Amino acid sequence: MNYRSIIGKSFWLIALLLVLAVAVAGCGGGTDEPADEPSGDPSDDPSDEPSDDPADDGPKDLTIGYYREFTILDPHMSSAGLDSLGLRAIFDRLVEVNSTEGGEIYPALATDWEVSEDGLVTTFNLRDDVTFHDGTPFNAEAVKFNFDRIMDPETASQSAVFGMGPYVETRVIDEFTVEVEHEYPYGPFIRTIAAASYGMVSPAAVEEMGDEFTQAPVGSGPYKFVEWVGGSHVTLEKNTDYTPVVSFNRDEAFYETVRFQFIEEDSTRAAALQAGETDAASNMAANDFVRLRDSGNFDTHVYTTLGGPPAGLQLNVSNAPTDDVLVRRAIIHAVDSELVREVVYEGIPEPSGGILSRHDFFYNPEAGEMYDYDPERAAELLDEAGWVMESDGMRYKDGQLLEIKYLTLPGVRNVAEVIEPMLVDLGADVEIWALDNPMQQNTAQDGEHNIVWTQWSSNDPSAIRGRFHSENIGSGWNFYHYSNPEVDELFVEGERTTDPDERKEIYDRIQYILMDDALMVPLNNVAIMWAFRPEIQGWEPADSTGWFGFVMNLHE
Amino acid sequence: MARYIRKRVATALIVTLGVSFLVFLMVNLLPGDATAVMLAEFGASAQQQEELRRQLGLDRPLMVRYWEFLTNAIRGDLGRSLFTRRRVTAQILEQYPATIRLALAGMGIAIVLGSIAGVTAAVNRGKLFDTGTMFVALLAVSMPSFWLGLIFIFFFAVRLGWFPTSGSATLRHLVLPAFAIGLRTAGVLARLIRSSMLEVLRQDYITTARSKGVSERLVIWRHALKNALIPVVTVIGVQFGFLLGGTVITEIVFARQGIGDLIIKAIFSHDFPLVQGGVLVLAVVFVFVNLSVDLLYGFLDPRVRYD
Repeated sequence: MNYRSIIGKSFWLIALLLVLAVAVAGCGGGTDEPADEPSGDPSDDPSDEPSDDPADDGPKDLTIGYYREFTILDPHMSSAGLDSLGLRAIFDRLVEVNSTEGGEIYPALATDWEVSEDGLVTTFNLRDDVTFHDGTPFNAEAVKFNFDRIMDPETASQSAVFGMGPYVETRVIDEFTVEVEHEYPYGPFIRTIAAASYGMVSPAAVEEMGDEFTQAPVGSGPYKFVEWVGGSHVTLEKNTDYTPVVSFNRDEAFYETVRFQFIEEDSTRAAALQAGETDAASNMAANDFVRLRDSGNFDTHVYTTLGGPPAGLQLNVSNAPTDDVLVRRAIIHAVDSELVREVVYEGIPEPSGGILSRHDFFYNPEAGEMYDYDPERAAELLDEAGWVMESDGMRYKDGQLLEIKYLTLPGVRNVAEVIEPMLVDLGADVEIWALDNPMQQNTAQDGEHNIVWTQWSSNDPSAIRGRFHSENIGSGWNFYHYSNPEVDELFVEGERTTDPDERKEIYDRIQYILMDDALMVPLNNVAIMWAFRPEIQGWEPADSTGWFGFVMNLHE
Repeated sequence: MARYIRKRVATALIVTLGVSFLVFLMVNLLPGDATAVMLAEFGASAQQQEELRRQLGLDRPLMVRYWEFLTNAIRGDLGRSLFTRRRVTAQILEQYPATIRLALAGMGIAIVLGSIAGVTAAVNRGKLFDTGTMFVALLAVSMPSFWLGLIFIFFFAVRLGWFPTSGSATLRHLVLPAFAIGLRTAGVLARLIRSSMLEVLRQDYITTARSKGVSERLVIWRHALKNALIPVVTVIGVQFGFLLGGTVITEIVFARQGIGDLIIKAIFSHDFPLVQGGVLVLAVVFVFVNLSVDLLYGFLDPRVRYD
């Protein structure tokens, strides 16, 4: 029949068009200009409309394409750094700390503070002009409520409680003065409570809402919580009653609303920014970041974190062959971390300082730069350790093959694949185990591995105790299985010392010992890559604690 | 019929119970627990992790926890997520509508495209159209939905600006993901319907219908297709059941709300209450869809009796 041949022809025409369409879509991705047309019809959410009309002097809204859904917007319960951006916008803290420029501490909700002679009692004088978003006043009772709430087992705090140290109690002296008492002098206290986890919640709101507080958090910060649509977005609105509490914040928030649109897939997050649906894309993949940066149509910035250890390979001292310090040193010399940064991250992150970030006030360069990339030295060290290169290109000692078990999270398997040939060149047989987190912890605790990739950050160096103190072998996070009484003692001393310079000496010493014992192959500092619409200003790191504070400073 | 349904519902209850117990065992017997995920970023000491484990009730015996889960579930309380501290039921209710919308739209696209392609290919058996359609169908089946989704986003959202790249707020957000999952199922259905049609077109009653002078269009789209669909309905039912379980990849690529993404994340973070609650709901839905498919048979095929 005739119509069939017509179908046949039009079929091939359609097929050809489809192929062409796919080809155009595939090849035409080079220009990366923001789309001219706003996508989304008028009935859409406001987020679909780019707010970049220069003639528009009306209220401005900011939409951030954010890389994960927030876990929980209750500072005392949250354990995730990804929540910090939201927590810092909604809640204020007693102090802010600049960990990069000499570790200076700034007043925030506390105007000043003093530590008693014996180091046990910290007295805070509080601002008397702050109210929470629900209209209730911020005062000494509120501080006591917050610290007690962090300590309450019912709260099941996943981060805040660990920085409270040997907390005894908070005493209300008068309406705007509180004393916090510790059982013994606790040096990290002031720096630690500058973290997002120590945001001050409204006691009245917590008491009223109970378990539902996490769904409608109330703080005193520059932005108020509006709504959380699970799997989609969180919206905040400007707190018009906000009096800036941190010296380096803008006078008040610029945007009427800030919307965190959760877009987990890296390419989609970049596409949403290109299509003009969002104003910024957070935590970009290196290839998307480079593409958008090189297009010249977006402003890009790389943020980093403090503390540590930054990304690197932890070496297990309890399992052969890495139980030999010479082998560990050989591995450090054999790893070309620059190549890892180039291949995996487009060369964007900076080199790691080993135990702490290079930007950290407590960073010790003598430890951080102890080893350089030197495969020849690595080979010499292995010779010295008795591992002999045989004709098959592998090293043996007493008939035993040099075997390295490398434990990694699946997400950074590519790092392992870049490093593997470097170790193979050395004459080692490398076995890679990729395990997700709870299983990784279990396996690393068992200590069957030689290498485990990890990455940490913290406000205060005392936090690295969890990684290196012998109390955490087998059931905690001491994946090095490292036990050194001198280091254990230094960690305790570091916590009980309150003078910043004395503390720096202690942590300098700790870093030196750990690197001299060759525990860590330094790879890279955390590099958090953002891209912004070019009209947006103020994305420079606003406070100290790296980058977390900047959202309230964004403006046009 | 009523007896049949009663029997099936009873079986469904047992199946659901079995599934929930198996899932509970599997999730809990994996090494490690949620505290490892919670503390992975900033860390803590071994003692602090133990303390947190106790506060969250993760140190209690397995059977005690399962019994508690079960008795609460019967009262409609699926507990709270360990991470978000929200009610599991609230989280599921919030995410499920988007999954159902996507599943329905994807299935609709699949059935329409799959039937047209499958029937036309069968009628044009051996011709260029047949070969071409089956080739495209094979392509659609083999194309990773992840890749297809990204291509759609770059072409239709970034380049042409016709649809939003991501999100799930409006109908326009639904178009690209629905096609991304629908095309694949359409490919599966097209191939099935084609072979099933070829089978049916050989039957005597088709010859009879034709010889009685029934128009060719009526013969194919009514007499033949209805019978050809009988084996296909089972496949549609199973596919739809899977779609209702959430199409994780599509949900993630298009940053959509959805139950699949919710449960997968819960599994990776060992968020026991959310995994248990979510899987329980999915099991019930799956069993219900299967029951509906079996009942649909009776409508399509009068020879089927329920007793």
